[in-house]
Amino acid sequence: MTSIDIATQSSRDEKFRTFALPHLDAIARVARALAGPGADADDLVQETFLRAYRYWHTYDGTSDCRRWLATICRNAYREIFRRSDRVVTLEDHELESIASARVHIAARSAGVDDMFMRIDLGPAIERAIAELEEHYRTVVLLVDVEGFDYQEVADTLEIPIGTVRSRLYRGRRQLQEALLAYAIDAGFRSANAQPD
Amino acid sequence: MWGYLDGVIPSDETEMISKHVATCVDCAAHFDFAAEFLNAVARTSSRRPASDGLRSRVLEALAAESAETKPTPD
Repeated sequence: MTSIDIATQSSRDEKFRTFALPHLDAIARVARALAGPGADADDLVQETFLRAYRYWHTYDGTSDCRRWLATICRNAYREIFRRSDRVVTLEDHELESIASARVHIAARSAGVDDMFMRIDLGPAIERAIAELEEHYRTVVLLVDVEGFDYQEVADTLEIPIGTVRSRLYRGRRQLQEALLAYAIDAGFRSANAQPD
Repeated sequence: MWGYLDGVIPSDETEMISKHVATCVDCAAHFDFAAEFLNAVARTSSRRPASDGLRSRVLEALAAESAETKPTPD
């Protein structure tokens, strides 16, 4: 091997450190979104970065590196955990919006419609997200916590953008319902609420 | 509603919805509730960084991979 090969290796390592490693936190969150919290997610993160390092020569340097890494993560998840996307019937998006409006109406009746402004629901939100079915949890985490746009999620998970919307809207509504139930059970009724 | 709040619907629909919400108290309240919900979710600490242990583990694995593939001088 020549000194040129050594220099190429060093350049590759430097570029990987510069462009890929800064996304470690984000990919760790993607892995948790896919595999849930715990050791499986950590294993997935390590495998993702090892694969990215091995196939760094295939990264063209111009596309979004975070998205490239997220796609590797998702492919690794499918292979390691042998998961495949089952078909989700597309829901009517308007129906999901109506259903969410009904959650608000129920929250208002229960005197907790200001709960998101008045109560620290952080831990309850984390628990409720963790309890969502995997397909909904993944999309809610990627969009609403990580800030991926619909197309990024569609590309990362290799699902149609319509499926992203369906899973996201249903996941959000289920999350709202869980938080409403929590707020009612915890007795967070507002002092200004109208009596039943 | 969600598409409007996420800014992913066509501009003519956005304008139509905006005009309606400006005049309909009930719909405005629904949209406010949904927006407050999204803000609360976005603030959740689920957005936490990788642990130091995980970071060290990944860096060590990459270092080992690099060492395995590092060319040796002639």
